[in-house]
Amino acid sequence: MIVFQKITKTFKSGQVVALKNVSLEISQGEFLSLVGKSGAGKSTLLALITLEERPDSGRILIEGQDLSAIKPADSFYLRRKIGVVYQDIKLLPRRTAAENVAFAMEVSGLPDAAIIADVPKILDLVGLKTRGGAFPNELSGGEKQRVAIARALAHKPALLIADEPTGNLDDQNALEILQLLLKINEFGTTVILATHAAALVNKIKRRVVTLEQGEITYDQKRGRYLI
Amino acid sequence: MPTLISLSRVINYGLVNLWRHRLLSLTAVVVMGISMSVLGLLLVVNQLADLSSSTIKDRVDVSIFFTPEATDDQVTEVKAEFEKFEEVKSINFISAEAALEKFKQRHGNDPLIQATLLELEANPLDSTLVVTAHDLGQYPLLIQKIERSRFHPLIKEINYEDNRALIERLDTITQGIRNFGVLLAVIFGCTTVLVTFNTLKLTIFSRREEIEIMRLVGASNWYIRGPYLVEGTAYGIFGGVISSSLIYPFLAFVEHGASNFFGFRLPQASFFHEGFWLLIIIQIGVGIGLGVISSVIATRRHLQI
Repeated sequence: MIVFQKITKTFKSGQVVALKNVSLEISQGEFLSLVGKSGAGKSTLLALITLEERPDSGRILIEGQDLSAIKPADSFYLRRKIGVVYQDIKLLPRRTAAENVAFAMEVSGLPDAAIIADVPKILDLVGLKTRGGAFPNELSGGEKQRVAIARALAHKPALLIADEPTGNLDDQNALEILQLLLKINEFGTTVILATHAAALVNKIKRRVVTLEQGEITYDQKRGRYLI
Repeated sequence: MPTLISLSRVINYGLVNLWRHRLLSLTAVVVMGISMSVLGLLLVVNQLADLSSSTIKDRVDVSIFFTPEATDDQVTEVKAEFEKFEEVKSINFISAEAALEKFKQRHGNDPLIQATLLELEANPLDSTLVVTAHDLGQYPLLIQKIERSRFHPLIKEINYEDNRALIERLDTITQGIRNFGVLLAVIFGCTTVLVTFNTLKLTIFSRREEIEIMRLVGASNWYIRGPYLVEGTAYGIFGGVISSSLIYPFLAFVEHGASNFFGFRLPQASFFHEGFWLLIIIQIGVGIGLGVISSVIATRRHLQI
């Protein structure tokens, strides 16, 4: 589904090397954990997928499409195939959980009828069936992250990217979020989870790719977090 | 359908923006209204200057007086001949009798003149051709042509009041008014763009979270931009409506005075009558234009698209 071919990305005109000659292949329906210390290049790798950054050299293909061929103005087409969840949850504070999800669907141009029908289903999926009317400040950290995941799923993406989604959560909540991601993965959505929470990654026994100083040092099929 | 849905949502967001920042919006609308009023006034003043100068130009003509011996038929022949000159716009034939009739009418309540006219046996007035040219500058040439024509013996006198100096001075003043007007319009236009731009900038900043999320979930650029274009357009429309509703009573108020001052009835097509619609359209149109320009600049600079 996603192919990285010899990707190099630097910042500050070459002084900081974020990714060095990275090649990686991710198949449809895979659950991949991307691990490594802060600054290892995880976020940069994800930003390359969402076209927030462009590589200095190398090619990235998503479903066979070369990302370098996509003009910045057309990048939203790609983003609609991808759902993104961040550590800093980024919910609209003045909208309820349901409205936050609906907002994403509105933006994608879905008709009102579809939004009204789908929002409760998605909230149900993330376990917030009864919390749709709550505002973000009335929700717990775990609940907020669930809303963010619900929002990321609103436009039915083929790929879900989660960048440190459990970073601000306690263990119990973090585990629940992880289980939710696994459940989403079971429905066929490819999931890329960037994290440095070793305990979580080790528990699920899925593919783990380890980044160190911009290079892939381990790529294990049913891996553990090794560093 | 998705496009239509998006369009209605974009318009909706724009209007919601406008309402959420009503005080800011009000500032932009007021400034827009003032600018459009200034523009409207300049257009009106410009039109009045044009009208007065063209009225004076229209009043310029050449009167050709014929000798008493010239018969009406001969004068008609001369008229037909002169009409062939390319400079000639119109020729009016006033026969000696008609001239006398007119003279009598004009001085009907002056017993002295009436008595004098009775004393006279023959008509003291001559047949006259009143000639106008297409352009002011053509008169000297036209007069030359008339003087050199084979009918010259029939002509007693050619009367041409040379108003050119006066008209040229008037033109200079009109041009001055116009230049000053353009300068003023540009200054006010720029101010409007700046104020509108800043208003939109603040709206954009206050909604940056929303914009970030829009981008996150795959909103197209125009979907993110659209609401601000709607906002800018709305400022233009409201500003134009305000200025139109200010100028309307003003024009009604000065109309009588203006037509008295210039000594002619303001034409139907002028801004004072049917042309007012044009004035409204111009004001709202320019308002929308400035609003859209401002929002394009604001979104370019602050949305990083």
